[in-house]
Amino acid sequence: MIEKDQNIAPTQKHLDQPIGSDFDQNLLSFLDSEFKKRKTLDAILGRFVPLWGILKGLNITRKAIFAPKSTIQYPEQKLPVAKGFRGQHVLLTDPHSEQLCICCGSCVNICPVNCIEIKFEQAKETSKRKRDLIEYNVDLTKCLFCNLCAEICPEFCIILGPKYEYSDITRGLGNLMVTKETIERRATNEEYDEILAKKGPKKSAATGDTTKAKPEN
Amino acid sequence: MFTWILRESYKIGLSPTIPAWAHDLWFVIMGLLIFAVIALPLIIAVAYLTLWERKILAWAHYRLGPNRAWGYGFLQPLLDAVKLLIKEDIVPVCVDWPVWFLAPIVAFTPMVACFLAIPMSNAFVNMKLQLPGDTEPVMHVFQVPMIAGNLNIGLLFILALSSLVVVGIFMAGWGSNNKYSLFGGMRSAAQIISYEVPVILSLLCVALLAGSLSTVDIVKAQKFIPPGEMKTYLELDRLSMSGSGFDYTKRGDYLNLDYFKNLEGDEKIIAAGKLYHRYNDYVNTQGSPRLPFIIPLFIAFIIYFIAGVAETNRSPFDLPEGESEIVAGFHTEYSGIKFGLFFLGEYGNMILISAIAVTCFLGGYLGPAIPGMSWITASTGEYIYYFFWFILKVCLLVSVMVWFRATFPRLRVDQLTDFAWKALLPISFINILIVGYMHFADWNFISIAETNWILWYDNIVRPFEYPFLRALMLLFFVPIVSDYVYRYRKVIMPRFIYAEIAFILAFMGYDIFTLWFGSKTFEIVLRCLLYAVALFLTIWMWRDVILAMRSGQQFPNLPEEEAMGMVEKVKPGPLGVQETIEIPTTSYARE
Amino acid sequence: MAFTLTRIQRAEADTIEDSEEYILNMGPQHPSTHGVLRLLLRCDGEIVKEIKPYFGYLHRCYSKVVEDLTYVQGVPYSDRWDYLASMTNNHVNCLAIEKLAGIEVPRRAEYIRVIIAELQRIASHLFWFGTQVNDLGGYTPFMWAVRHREKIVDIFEELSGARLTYHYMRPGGVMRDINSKAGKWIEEFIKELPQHMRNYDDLIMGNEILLVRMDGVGVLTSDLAIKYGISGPVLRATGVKWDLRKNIPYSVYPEFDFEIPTRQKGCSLSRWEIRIEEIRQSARIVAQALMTLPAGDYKAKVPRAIKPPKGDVYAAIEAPRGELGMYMVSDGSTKPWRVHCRSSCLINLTALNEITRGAPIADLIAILGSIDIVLGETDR
Repeated sequence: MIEKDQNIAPTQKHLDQPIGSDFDQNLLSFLDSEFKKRKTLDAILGRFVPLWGILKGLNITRKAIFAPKSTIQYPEQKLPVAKGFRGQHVLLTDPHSEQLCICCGSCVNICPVNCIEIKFEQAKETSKRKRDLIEYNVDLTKCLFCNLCAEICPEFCIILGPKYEYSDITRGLGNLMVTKETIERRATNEEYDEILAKKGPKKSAATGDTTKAKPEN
Repeated sequence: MFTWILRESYKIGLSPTIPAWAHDLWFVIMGLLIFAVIALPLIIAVAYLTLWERKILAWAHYRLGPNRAWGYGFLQPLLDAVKLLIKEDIVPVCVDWPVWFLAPIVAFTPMVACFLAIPMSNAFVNMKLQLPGDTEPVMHVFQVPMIAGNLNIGLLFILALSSLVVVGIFMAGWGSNNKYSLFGGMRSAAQIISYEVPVILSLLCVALLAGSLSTVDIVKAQKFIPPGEMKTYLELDRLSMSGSGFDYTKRGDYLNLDYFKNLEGDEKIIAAGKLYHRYNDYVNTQGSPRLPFIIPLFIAFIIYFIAGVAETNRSPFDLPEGESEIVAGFHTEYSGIKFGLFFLGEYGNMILISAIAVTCFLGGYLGPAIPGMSWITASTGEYIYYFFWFILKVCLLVSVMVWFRATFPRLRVDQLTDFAWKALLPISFINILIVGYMHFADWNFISIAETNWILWYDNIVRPFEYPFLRALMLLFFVPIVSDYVYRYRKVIMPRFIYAEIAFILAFMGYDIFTLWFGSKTFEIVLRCLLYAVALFLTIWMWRDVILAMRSGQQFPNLPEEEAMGMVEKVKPGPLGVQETIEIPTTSYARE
Repeated sequence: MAFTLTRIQRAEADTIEDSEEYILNMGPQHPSTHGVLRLLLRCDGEIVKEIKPYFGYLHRCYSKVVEDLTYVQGVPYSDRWDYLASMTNNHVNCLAIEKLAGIEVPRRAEYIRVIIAELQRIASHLFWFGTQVNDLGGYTPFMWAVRHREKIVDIFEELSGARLTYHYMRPGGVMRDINSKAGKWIEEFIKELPQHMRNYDDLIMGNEILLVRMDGVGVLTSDLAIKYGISGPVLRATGVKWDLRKNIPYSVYPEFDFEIPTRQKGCSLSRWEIRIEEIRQSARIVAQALMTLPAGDYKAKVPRAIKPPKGDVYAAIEAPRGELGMYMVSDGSTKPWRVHCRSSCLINLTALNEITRGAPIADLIAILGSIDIVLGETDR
C-alpha cells in the first residue's frame, strides 16, 4: 500500500474530480451530534405512559399517510437513468455513418459468457479500415451487462446504452438477440469528440493481444 | 315499524287471518327487503373497504394505491370480485368435503346477521291514516329506528352470533388436510375465544350504563339533552306525578299542553307526537350519563377496540393468517370465490366491530345539534343527518383499524393469548368494579369520600373472601403438577411451603382476629394484607415458570436423566451477562 | 399413490422420536426463507425440536465456471453471490487478485472503495431491516427502508451504471471516478440519515410488539459461535469483539475512527441493535472518507492479462453479513487454478439448529431473519 505522505501526481486529468475539501468539513461532527440527540419529553412520557412505543409508531405512520407520495406513473412518466447506465448495447458509428469498429474481436474474447458474435470480411482496397463488419450479434439472454466489452474496446465504439425496455414476448429469442441493425446508431458530435479525446493523439491501430479473431471463412 | 304494521294491520281493514301463502310471502318479501337494504349494501361496502384499506396502506408507504381503474381505483373492487369469480376452483384431494365446503359460509353468514341489530339512524314518520273508529284520516307520528329488528336483547344477539365465526375458521383449518391450515385454524380459535371475554366484559359496562341490552336504547342513552329540552322534560315529570291527569304513555294527552298553543292542526299533532316519543325515550333512559359512553368508559372502549381488532384476525393479531409464516393459514387451500368469502367475512367483521363500537361508545347515529334543528317541530332530513354521522363514525374507526395494520408487526400466538388473559382481562374486571361503583354513586366523584366503607366491605367484599381464597389455592396448585415445575422443584418447593403457611395464616386469621379484635378497620387492613401476600406468592410461583418458558432456557437435568446418561450436551443459554472476549489477531495476519 | 414416501422421506420420517411429533416442510417456496431455502422441521405442537436445512437450490457452480475465465472476466461473477451487497463481493474478489498479483491500489481508489463499501453496508442493512420487519408483519417499515435504500442505489447507478450487480470495483481500483454529482448525492444522503434513523427508532426499536417478539429469542453463546465459525453481527451479538476491519485490517480502514458495536445477550434483539448501530458507524466512516478524499488515480495501471505468480492467497473482508473470504490458487497462467468463496451466510446458517431448538415456529422466522442470509451467497 502507498504511504500516507507520498505525493501522487494525478496522471489522468479529469474535469470532475472532487476531493475532500470540496465537501462539508463539519459532516462528522454534525453526524455525531445528531446521533446523540434524545428528546427529554419523549423519555419522560415513555416511562409513565403505557404502550408509549406503540403511540409513537402510530404518530409516525400518520405523518407518512399525509405526506407527498413518490409514485411515478410508469408508462406515462419514466425516471431518468444515469448517464453511464448499462442497458442494451449501442454500436456507435461516425457522425457521418462511417463504421468505427475495427473488428479486432476484443469484445468477443473478453466477454465472460461468450454472448457476442461477430462476422467481418476484408475491406476493399480503397477504404481506410482493414475489415468491414457484417454482423454483430449479442445474445441478451446470456449477457451479464458487465461493461467489459465497452471498456476493452480500443475504438470506444461499443457501449452499453440507456435502454432498459427490451423485453419480448415471442417464443424464440426475438428482441433478445440484438443485431447490428438494431443497435447501430450515429454518434453525436459531443460523443465523437469524447471518443477522440479518449483515444488520444495517436490514432494507430489497437494494441495488445486483441487480433486473435480470424476473418470469416 | 314492519312488525307494527303486521300487528295492527287489522285496524286498517286487513283480515286477521290471511291465507298461508300470503303469510309465507310476507316473510319472503321481508327477507328480500332486508337483503336489499342491509346485506347488499354491506357487501358493496365491504368491497370498497378493501379498496380503502389498500389506499391507506399505500399512503403510509409513500405510494399511491390502486389508481388505474376509473381514476382513483374505484373500479378495482369490482375487478377483484370478477377475478375471484372466474378463477378455477381447486379442490385438494383428501379434504373433509362437507366441513371444507361449508367453512366459508359458516364464517361469513353470522357476521351479516349481526348487522340486523345495529341501528343506523332514527326517523320520525308522519302518516295520515284513518283507523277504524275515526271519522276522517288523522295524522299519526311514528318513531322508526333504522334497524332491521329492534330486539330488546340486541347486544346479546350480536355477541352470540359473532362467536359463530370462529367455528367457520376452525372448520377451514381442519377440513383442508394441510398442516399449515391446521396451525392457522388452531391459533385462530384460541385467539378468538381468548378475546371474547374482554369484549363481553367491556360491553357489560355499556349495558350497565344504558340500563338495557337493546342497541336502540343504548344509542338513545347517549343522547345529550340540552338544558332547554331538559326543562321541558322535568316539567312533564312534575305534571305526570302531580296527579293532574297527564299520562305520559297516552299520545292524546300531549295535545292539551301549553307548548303547542301556537300551532294548528296537523303541525300540532306532529309536534305533540314527537314530544311523546322523545319524552318516552327520556324516561326509558333514566340513570344513564347522557354522554357518548366513550367519556365515562374510555378504558372499556380501548379494551373493546383492541379485543375487537383481535377478534377479526387483524394486525397486530393476524398470526392465523400470517402470510410470512404459515403461508396463508387457514385459507391456504381455498381459491376463487371461497377465498373471497373468507376475505369478505374478515372485512365485514371489521365493519361490524366498528359499528358496535360506534353504537355502544361513540353515540351511534347521533350527531351534534345544528342551530336550525328544532327538537319538536318537523324536520324531514333528520334521519339523513343521523345516517351520515353513523357512516362517518364507522369509517373513522375502520380507518383506525387500517392504520393499525400499517403500523404494527405481528404478535406471536402465545403472546397474543398472554395479552388477552393477563392484561386485558384483569383490567376489564377492575374496570367493571370501578364503573359499577361509580354508576351506583351516580357518577359523583365526591361520594367516594362520603361512602361508608365498612358497610360496603361487610356487605359486598366479605361474601367473596372465602371463594377468592379457595380459587387462589387452586391457582397456586396448578403449576405444581405441571411438567415445567416438576423440573424446577428444587426452586419451587420452598416457595410452596411459604405460601402454604401464608394460606393457613389467612384462614386462621379469619377466625382469630374476628374474635380478638373489635376494631373493624384493623381487621380489614390485616386481612387485605394477608390476601395480598397470598396473591403475591402465587404470582411469584407463576413468574418463574413463565420466565423459564419464555426464554427457552434449557431445563436442568433431572437426577434420573443423569443416571441413565440422557444428559443434554448443550449448555443452557445465558440470561445473565457474559464477558466480552477479545481474540488476538496475530495468528491470522499475513504480510 | 399419494401415500408412498420416497427413500429420503422415509429416512426423515424415521427420525420422529415421539408420537406427538410431526415433520413440517418449510419448502423452497416460502415467503420468509429469503430465497430458495428448504427447512425440514421436526416439531412437537408448535415447538421446533430439530431443523435440517437443505440448501443448494441456487448453486450455480461458480467455482468451476471461473476456472475457465481470466481473473478480470471472473469478477462479474462474484457480483452474484450476495446480490444485495454486490460491492463488497467485488471488493473481496479484487483484494484476492491484487494480493496474488502484487498490484498496488492508488490512495484515492482505496478511499473510494471504503466509501462505496460502507454505503453498501448501509444499503444491505436497510434491506435486511425491511425484510425482517416484513416477515414479522410490519409492511410499512419494509417500504420505507427500501425507498431509503433507493437513494444509495441511485448513487451506485450514477457511479457504475447498474442497480443491482454493479461490477464497480476492479483489480487495481474502481471502474469510474466519483464525479461531483455523485459526491453531492452521497453528502446529502449522509446528512439526511440521522433523521431517517430517528424515524426507524420511533417506529421499530421502541415498539413493544417487536421487543417482545425478539428479546431473548434465539440466544447464541459465544463459545458455540466461535466453534461454528460464525462471523459478522451474529458473532458480535454474543460478546466477541471481532470485526475484520479492526482486527485484520485491509484497505485504508486503520485511518478512520469508528466503533465496533458489541452486545452481550446473544439474542435476536442484540443482532438488530448491532446492525442499526453499524449503519450509524458506517455513516461516520463515509463522512470521514469524504472529508479527507485525496486527489489521484482511481485505478492502477494493470496489465491487460493478469498473470500472477504461482501461489495461493486468502483474502477476507467484513461484508455486511459476516466474513466473506476468497481463496485463490494460481498456477502462473492467466486463469486461476482454483477459486473458493468462503460464504459468511452458509457458515452462519449452520448454527440455526442450535439457536432454534425449543422455540416456537413463529420464533424461527424471527431468528432466521436476524441471522440475515442471502441464498446467492450460501449456494454460490
